[in-house]
Amino acid sequence: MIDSKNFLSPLHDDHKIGLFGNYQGKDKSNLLTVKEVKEIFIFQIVKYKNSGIDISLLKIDGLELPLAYPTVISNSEIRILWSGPNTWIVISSNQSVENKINSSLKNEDFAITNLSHSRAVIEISGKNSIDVLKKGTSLNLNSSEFTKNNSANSSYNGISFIVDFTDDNPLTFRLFCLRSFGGSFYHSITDAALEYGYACE
Amino acid sequence: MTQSYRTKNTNSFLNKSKVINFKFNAENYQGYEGDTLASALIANGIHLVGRSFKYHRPRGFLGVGVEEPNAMVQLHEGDRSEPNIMATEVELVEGLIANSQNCWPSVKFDIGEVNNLLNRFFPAGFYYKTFMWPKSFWMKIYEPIIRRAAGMGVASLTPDPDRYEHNYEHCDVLVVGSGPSGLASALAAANNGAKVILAEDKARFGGSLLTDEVTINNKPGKEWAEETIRHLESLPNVILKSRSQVFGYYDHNMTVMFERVSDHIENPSEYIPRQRLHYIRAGEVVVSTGSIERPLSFGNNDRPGIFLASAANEYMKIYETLVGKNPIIFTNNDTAYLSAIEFKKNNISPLVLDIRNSSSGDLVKEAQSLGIEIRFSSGVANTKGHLKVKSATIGKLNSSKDAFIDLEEVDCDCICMSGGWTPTVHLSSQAGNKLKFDKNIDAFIPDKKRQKETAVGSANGSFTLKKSLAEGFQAGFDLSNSITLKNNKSEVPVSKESETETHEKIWCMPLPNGKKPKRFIDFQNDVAVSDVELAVREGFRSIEHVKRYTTLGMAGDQGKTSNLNGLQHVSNIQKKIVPEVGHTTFRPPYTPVTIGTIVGREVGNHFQPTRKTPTHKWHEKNNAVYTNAGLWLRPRYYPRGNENMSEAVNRESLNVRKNVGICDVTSLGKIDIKGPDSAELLNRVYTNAWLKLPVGKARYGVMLREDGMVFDDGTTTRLSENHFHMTTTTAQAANVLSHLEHYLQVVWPELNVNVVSSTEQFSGAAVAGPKSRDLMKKLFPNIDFSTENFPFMGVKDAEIDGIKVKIYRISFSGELAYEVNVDSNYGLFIWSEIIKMGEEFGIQPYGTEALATLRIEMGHVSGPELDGRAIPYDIGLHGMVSQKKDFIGKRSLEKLAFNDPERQTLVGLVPIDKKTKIPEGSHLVKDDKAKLPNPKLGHVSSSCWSVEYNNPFSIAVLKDGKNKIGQKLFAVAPLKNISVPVEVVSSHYVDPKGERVRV
Repeated sequence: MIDSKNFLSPLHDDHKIGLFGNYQGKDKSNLLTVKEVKEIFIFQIVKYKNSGIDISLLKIDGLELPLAYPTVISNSEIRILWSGPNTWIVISSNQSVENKINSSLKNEDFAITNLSHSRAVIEISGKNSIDVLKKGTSLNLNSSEFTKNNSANSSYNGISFIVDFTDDNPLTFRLFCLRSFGGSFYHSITDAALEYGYACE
Repeated sequence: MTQSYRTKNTNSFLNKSKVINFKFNAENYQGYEGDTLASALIANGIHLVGRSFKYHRPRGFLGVGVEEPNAMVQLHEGDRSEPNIMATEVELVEGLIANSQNCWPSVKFDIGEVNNLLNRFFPAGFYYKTFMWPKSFWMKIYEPIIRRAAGMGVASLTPDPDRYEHNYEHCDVLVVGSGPSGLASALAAANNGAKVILAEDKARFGGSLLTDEVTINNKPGKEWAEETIRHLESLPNVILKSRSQVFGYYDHNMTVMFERVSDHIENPSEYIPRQRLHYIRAGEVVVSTGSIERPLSFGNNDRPGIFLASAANEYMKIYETLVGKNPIIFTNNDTAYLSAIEFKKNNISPLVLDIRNSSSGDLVKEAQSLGIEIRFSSGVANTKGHLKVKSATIGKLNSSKDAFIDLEEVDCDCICMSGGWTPTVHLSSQAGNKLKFDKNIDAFIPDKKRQKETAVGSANGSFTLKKSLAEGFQAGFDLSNSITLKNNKSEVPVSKESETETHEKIWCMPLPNGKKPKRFIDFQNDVAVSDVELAVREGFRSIEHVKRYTTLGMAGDQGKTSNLNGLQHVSNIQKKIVPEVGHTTFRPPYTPVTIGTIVGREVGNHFQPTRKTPTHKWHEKNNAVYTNAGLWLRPRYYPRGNENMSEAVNRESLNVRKNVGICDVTSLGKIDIKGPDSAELLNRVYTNAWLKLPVGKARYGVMLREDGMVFDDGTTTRLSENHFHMTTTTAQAANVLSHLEHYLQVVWPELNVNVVSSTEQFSGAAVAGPKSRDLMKKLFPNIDFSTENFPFMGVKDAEIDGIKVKIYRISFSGELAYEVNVDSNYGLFIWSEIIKMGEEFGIQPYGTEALATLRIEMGHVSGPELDGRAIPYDIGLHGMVSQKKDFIGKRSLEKLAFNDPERQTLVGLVPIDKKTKIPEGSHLVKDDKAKLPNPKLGHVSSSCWSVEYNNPFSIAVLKDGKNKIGQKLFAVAPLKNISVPVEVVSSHYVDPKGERVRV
């Protein structure tokens, strides 16, 4: 359970609501938006080297584990990101995800690690969101290479992060970085967004 | 001054409805929107722009674009002031301020011109031969003078207020240059479905199509170019970038492009970058960079008013600007006739001097039909005019063209020269392409490519429009088709152009009888024909050596107009053909790039990322002074009132010794270790035994590198049979994780273990001091904190306000202490609770300085001692080394040197006077007055003010230290001129038996 009373999100001190940068004279409804995704559950799943379990037979909440980069398998509650060979990141805003993982995967076969408090998560949305990303990451984000329900590990201005392409209308990306880098990451992202103008929600 | 040098051409790119005011050398001028600073100055009759690098000769404009070697200006003023900017590349904006550079007191009267009068004393390489004697002059006379004379303009000393950004792009086909072959390539590739980026250095796309009198599909070339651009703009798979120079080509088809985003905008938004650096990774790169006209070498060919013929043509056609009203056209080929014809169209009759004996090319015929005076087998021998060319000494050449038959003086106000064309092969060469010499055009062209790079058009030595278009369309289709497989081939349009005749292979004019005027090859670096001759005469054979000795083709210019003329001259002297002489290396950047663009947003707070703990804001509010621990910002101390650092640190340290303190230890590395072989992994990486560690207990461990040196230390807790929680030092957290992953993946793949960093998952607070137990009891009343139930190195789960907490009874301070770990999002809550509850026990936060004091007093080793040079024995950790089992580094510990009984070992030091602080890093010597080299017995690793004994205390490593306890030595810091008499004591200065942590 999340104790909201005493809970302080990673970007609590950095994320301020308002309009910033070059927003004047632009249609507010089409403006780039930046928000912090709070109270999210993140688990790393790694199959042990010696486990003989067949991954293709496993499902979490009905979702198969993606088998290759850059696939994300998702339903309305859970997103499973391929993070490396035999390594996945499971993300949900519903705490029940932990039970769903534990009921689907055995401890003998998988190392399951709760990383929910270890990441700062930013969601950027709008047509310029891809331009913001291109200012800091060398990932190929062309539509032929990186589409909705794709994710990748990369770095943004020197900060390691995961980008999860969650929607294409409007373009929406969730960006995960180590919690301690959250402030720097947030300021890098919003700095890059100044050119287009953005709304912090 | 009026713009008296404007043409009446109305088909240019200028917007005459918008007048732009600007200043040059404090004088007010006007130009039009669409002008460059160069075109506007020329239109105002200004040709004298600056002074040359070495001789301070008056210099004007030679070219019209990136090839310009002379017209460098100091742009803007104040913190935006920028030196060495090519006036030909600066778009005119309202209020622009430019000044001449490398001159004093003014560009018209420059004291430095004395160098020109003394030029015989400043030949190539003079600085290698001068300033050698007397030796004592170097530091006080020569160096200051050279430093003062070096460079052209002046860099601003204040921070650049503008914004610069970076951008990453990927495309199928990058087309560099938008002349006919570039447009054709982009069009063919885009129509075939490829993602295309078309980059053009200038503000306008089209290249030579904007000035050449050609037709494509029965339309003027300029019109076809505009139509093509409109079509490309409409395609979603095309990015068009004007004002963008691709200046570097690196491995894996990575190119770097410099975009002038808002330099041409008056008062741009503060959020829009001034310039942007693009990293472009392309599947294929089409190098359609065109070619640059070669100058001709003749006496005093550097005077203001002497232009490249193509530049004169472009100034007339694009900028409605006449470079002169009494021109001489001097050429060895047909293309210069374009300028002659354009002058004639503007009712100016030029005199054409053609080195060749004749030509029946279309342009020559047209010039003849227009009544232009043409003198074949003729050339310019010399020029006159101080601040601008006023006349030329011209004459007929003999049959072998190595001397003038007769000479005459003719008035002129400009000379437009052409020595043919040099393909711009810089990018191909940077890409690793081995260039080859094409003797038909007397220039190097790309040959065998090493990367996915294809040169087309004049960059490939194809100087006709027909060939350029054919190559461009073919390359665009072929390269895109290998990616898209769409097989959608565009049709090559029908083109029409003038037929030209070949050039004469002469680029350097003979000297006029009895005179030795400088005939310049490299205008930017003041390198003349005589300098190249001198270099060869002095034995420099390799063209690379000639380049360095003379500075030919160096610096920002990179030999754009000089390279080939220099090679040609060396080959003439050495009686070799040019390919035997070879060519110098083409290096990025092709054109100068601002430092701001390279740096991008890595300035100020964005210089490097910082890492903050969940309680960072609390520390900030409580006056913390931070220190950088790696990228982490850690509270160093918390001064109160007027306290200085020492006072604050002593107060914090003493409070831990007497009451209770709290320290943010979130940054310590944490690694979650899971799997059936976890204990075995720990047993192999740590020097001590781990297989039998009970669940719920922690153990201190030391890791070695394979060479036996201590790598890191920390405590690891067994949370369940196959689950461990490892801690590392802050500095080594990432390295330890990599170390473990390396061994698991490469060395011991049979171990079934997963390791993952959990540093960020948990917020940690160390609660230390004799009253810490009382505080913990108050915080967690349901936990039995008695030593019997919760001993040293024990671990307990607890809860506060429904939030789960893990409590470790471990200590770095040497006092009774607990480390409270909680999920990071509750970190501030727990910290605040501890502070609140701890008030009655006198709790105070303590920073890394107090933490250091506490551990130094106790003789606990840390970073300064674990410096990669210590084995466990050296720092008192030999008791941690198991003799029964194997571990990383064990074998190395058997090395002879590691078992030397006189090895340096850990000791404590106290100054004899009990007052003088011992500088960290001091050397320990027996006699501080001994002659050098004074044998060093050891060094001071960490120092503090002992709050327990109220005197300075240090720990050090000392040769045979254990047997030197009680001896008196000197701690010397020669750079600080400090020598402190010290007594060697035990490293465990406080609580030597370690009783406090176990109470």
